[in-house]
Amino acid sequence: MYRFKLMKNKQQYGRVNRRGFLGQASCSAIGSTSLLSSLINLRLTGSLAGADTDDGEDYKALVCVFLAGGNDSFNMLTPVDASQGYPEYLAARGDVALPQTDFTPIGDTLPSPDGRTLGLNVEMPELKALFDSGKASFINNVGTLVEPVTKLGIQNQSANLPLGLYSHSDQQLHWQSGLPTNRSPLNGWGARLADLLDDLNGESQVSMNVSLAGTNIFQSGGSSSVLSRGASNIPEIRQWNRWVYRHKRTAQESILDAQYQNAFERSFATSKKNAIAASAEYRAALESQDPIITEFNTSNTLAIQLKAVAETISARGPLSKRRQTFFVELGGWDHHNGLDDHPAMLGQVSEAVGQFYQAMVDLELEDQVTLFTASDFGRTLTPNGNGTDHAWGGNQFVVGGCVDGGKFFGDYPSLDLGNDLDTGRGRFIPTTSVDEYIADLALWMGVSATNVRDLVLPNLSNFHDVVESGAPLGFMKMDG
Amino acid sequence: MKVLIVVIALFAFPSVLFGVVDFNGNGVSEFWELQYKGTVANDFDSDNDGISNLAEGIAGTDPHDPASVLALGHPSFDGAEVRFSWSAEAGKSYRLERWDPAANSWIEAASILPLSIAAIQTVTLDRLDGGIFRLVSADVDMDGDGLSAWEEILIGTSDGSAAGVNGSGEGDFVTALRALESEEGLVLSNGTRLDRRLPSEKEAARFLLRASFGPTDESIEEVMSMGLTGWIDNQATISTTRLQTSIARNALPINSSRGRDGWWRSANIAPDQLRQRMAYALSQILVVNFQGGSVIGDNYLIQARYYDIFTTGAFGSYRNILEKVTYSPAMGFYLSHLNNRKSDDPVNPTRFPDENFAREIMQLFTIGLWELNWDGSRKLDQDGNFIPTYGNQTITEMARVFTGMSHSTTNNGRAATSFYDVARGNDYLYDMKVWDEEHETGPKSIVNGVQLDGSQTGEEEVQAALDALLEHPSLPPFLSRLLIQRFTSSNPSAAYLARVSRVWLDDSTGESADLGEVIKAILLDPEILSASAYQYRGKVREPIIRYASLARAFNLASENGKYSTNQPRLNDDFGQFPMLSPSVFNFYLPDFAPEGEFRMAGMVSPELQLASLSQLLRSDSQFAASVEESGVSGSFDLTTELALVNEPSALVERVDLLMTGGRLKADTKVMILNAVQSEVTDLEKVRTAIYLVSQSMECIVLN
Repeated sequence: MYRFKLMKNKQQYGRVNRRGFLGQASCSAIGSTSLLSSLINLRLTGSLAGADTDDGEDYKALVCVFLAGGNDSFNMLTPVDASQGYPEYLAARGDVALPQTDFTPIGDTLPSPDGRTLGLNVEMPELKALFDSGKASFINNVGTLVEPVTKLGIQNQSANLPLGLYSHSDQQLHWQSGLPTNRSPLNGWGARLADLLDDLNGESQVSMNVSLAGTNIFQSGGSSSVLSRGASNIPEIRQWNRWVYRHKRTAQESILDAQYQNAFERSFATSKKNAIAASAEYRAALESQDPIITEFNTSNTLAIQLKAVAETISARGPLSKRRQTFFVELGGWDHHNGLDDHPAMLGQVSEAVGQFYQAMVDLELEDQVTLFTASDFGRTLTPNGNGTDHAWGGNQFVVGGCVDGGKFFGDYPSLDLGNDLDTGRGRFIPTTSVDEYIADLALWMGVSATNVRDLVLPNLSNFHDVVESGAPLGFMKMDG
Repeated sequence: MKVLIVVIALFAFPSVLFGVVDFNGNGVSEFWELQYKGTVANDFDSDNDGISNLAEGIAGTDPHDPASVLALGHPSFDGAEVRFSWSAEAGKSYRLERWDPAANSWIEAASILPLSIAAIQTVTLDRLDGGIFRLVSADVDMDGDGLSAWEEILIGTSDGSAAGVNGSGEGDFVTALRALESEEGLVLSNGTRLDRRLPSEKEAARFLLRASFGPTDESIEEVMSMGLTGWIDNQATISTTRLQTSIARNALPINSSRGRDGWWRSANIAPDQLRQRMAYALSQILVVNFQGGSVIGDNYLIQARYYDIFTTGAFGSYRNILEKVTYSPAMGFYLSHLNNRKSDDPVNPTRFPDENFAREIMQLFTIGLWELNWDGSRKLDQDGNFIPTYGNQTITEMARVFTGMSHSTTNNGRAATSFYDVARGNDYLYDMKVWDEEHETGPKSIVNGVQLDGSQTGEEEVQAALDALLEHPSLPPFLSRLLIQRFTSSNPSAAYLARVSRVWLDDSTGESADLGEVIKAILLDPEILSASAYQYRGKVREPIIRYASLARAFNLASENGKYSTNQPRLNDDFGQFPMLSPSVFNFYLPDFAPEGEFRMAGMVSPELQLASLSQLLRSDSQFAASVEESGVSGSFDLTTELALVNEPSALVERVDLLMTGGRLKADTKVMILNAVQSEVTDLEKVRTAIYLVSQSMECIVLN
């Protein structure tokens, strides 16, 4: 049951002793002192059917780490038991199989009758430490699906499949939109989620959705647009605030304020005008905060982005934010060849994620920020030489204080080629849909089950009744 | 029963979709205006016949002849019938409409297709259907070539066929434009000779915004004297400026950024500008990312050799380009079909052919994911679903075709002896070959339903696969759209796209047309040359092209003759630099729809994918700094502009012409003029004008 009470006046936000409040932070979103943002539900559903929680002063953020190109995640998380798992791996992967010693066994053996032991690539010690301390878990064989399908259904072409399966552009789109039958989605699931939560945020020119990696469908298309920025700094127009620029500024402002009949001109002028305003506020907010004390490796391009995320989170007060989404990206995962580089890239991810988690600990926000990975697809188990090709299901991980850590969610597939999930070359039919993966995250962010089903993830009901049965996978602790 | 007939006559404004050629966007065919030289205005009536010149222009009647008007005469009654007659112009369609008081609107009573000669047109209605009638004149374009039937009859072509004269690939409009721009002028079918019409200064500048890296005084002059058709023809005769040559002439020390500076030199000063723009457009379709740190990224000659596939092939056949790209070791390295081996075991393989190139050559380089009609719309199957051009099985089969490809030379140009020979550095300058020792044998079912029976050599199979792709009916609309998006329009109309697609098939031989014909059709389409207030018209210009345009307009040059640019900085500030796109999907997706009104309207703007907060502000700053000659190697020649500081409005006009083709809106011009006049020094006045115009929406957007 959800309990409701009236939403606090936004103007009061920030006056409460934040430290005191944050000290009590728990993983709870649903079931604690939650209240209804009547505005949200009235506006979006016209009814009071659901509860998008608001316990007054909490803060929550989701950080999407997108591994663009298709992470070969069967070399990230791998069966290592000598009896069954590793021999099957070795047989299937041939030339791209890594030695058994390149993996460190983690977690419990997979439940009987499976019994396999999974190992994590040794290049990921930070992730292993987070897993071991219960702050990280894996979601196995997850991928884009419209509805559950079988190998037979695919073979006889009766299966309803995501459009453009195995293609980068389409699969990135589907992961980020949650709309795998649409090649021109109007919005992403992050944007739909944000639409349900943005009323919790105060007035600000800076969007609750910040991308460190350019435009993306995940966060875009909602009522609050994406703020896309570079990792290095928040720029401003040269000399904009200087006396010497004043005449130019007057002209620039009139150019940006003018009415344009042409949609391209209108759109560009609006974007630039918003960027100027957001930039000023964003920079002021960052400057008002103490610098992040956590050390980030500035030669790690993912760490640089995550540092910028941490800085933005630290400025959530002046930016009047209680809910935020972030998008960071690391490319170069399309290992059709050169898979030798893959372990080092995993190491890069692990280091960056480890440093980010530490930053959240240092900010005392580790229970309020959840990081999750996504990637176009898994890759073929069988090699093409020194690389692998596009496939389907793959393994992902989540990190945060509210993650039910040290566990595996979703079935890890048998790596025996030709099994019932293998559509050829070890392209696995996902046993967990992207929708199920996202649903846990959306619920944790405080979106009601009804809204998750009806407004965030329209295909979820093809796999799971979230209103009846709650979180599909249960990897987030909802009632700390 | 009493029948009240009120004749309201006469016109409806044609939209560009109906295909009249209307350079100035006043709603009247350009050919009518040239023929009658009447002042086209609603309040001007040269022959005092009560019908304005504007209305006569739309109706196609003679504004100097009071007897030539479109009027619905009083109907005649014949028993139960009522008969309407009017003097119909050849090629105009008409709609007789009746006022429907219940619906409070005009509804169609009769629709009349165009006649091939002017004649009295008669329509008979049931007398009981009496009421208030009006006659509407409209234009139709039956063959979809962008010329209305009325125009085609006037200039003596047929509205029944979109194909050009002699199957040359040049459509009726280009043929007419070529005549109009010739010294003889255009002789109409009625014997009237239209005087030679050459582009105005502004028309020339606008054309050059599309067809070059930006207008200059010289190129505007060229277009004004040669005409649009003549300028394009001339461009094809100028010898090719290869990137390799520009690098060599740039007099810089050899290092890995040298190739990038060579590109900047070509964009700035190469006389074969259309070829350079085409090469750059092709490099955004057949993408190789030459980021440093690899054998191809660190060798400027390999990059230049790859890019020169496009400079040398810019006006040639696409088949030729695709073949060179397929065999290029740079592409082979990038999409990993270099050293692509056959399966290790024909029965129980554990290693399979690499699918990377096989997929992208179909998805990105030739046909795309969906079967397309000529106009770019997706074909539907009997259940109304889109039809994929291929499935995953086709990809694995195509991957088998592209096996066995490896270096033809090793050790600096010596012939390789096997697939496995080790190559390095400059060995990547030579085309790959197909080594049968690692080519997958056996029959293959490849794209477009083509079956290879396994009897051919690897080399022959690769050629057969390229042929299969080139013959695929989705290729012309797929590639036409991508090229149109780079040059003129993010959202071309179906009719425009169909016109360009059609050029790919040369009627006389059935062979694939040269890209030179394709680019001509793209730049000289009536939809592009006609002005229109359609709000999704045009495109956002790429920041790197706007930047080159600035350098060209004001003669950025250095004393030592080298052209150098701060490429890493530009890449950061603009989000793009040639040959450095972040992935094979280019700097932006062709279907990128910015959130908001574009996405809701189903419209796209690929270039706006670059418009992040950071890039919007940093690119502005980059322009500001460059205008002050900070961060650019060289200086601008502002002699002409400095001479105008005492006539600031003339200064702004000039900058407006060079940077937007004279499209600045009046309000903006005033604001910029104010800013210019507020500055103290002459140099600052000029710089202010240039900088502010460079940041105007008219400079950023092409429409």
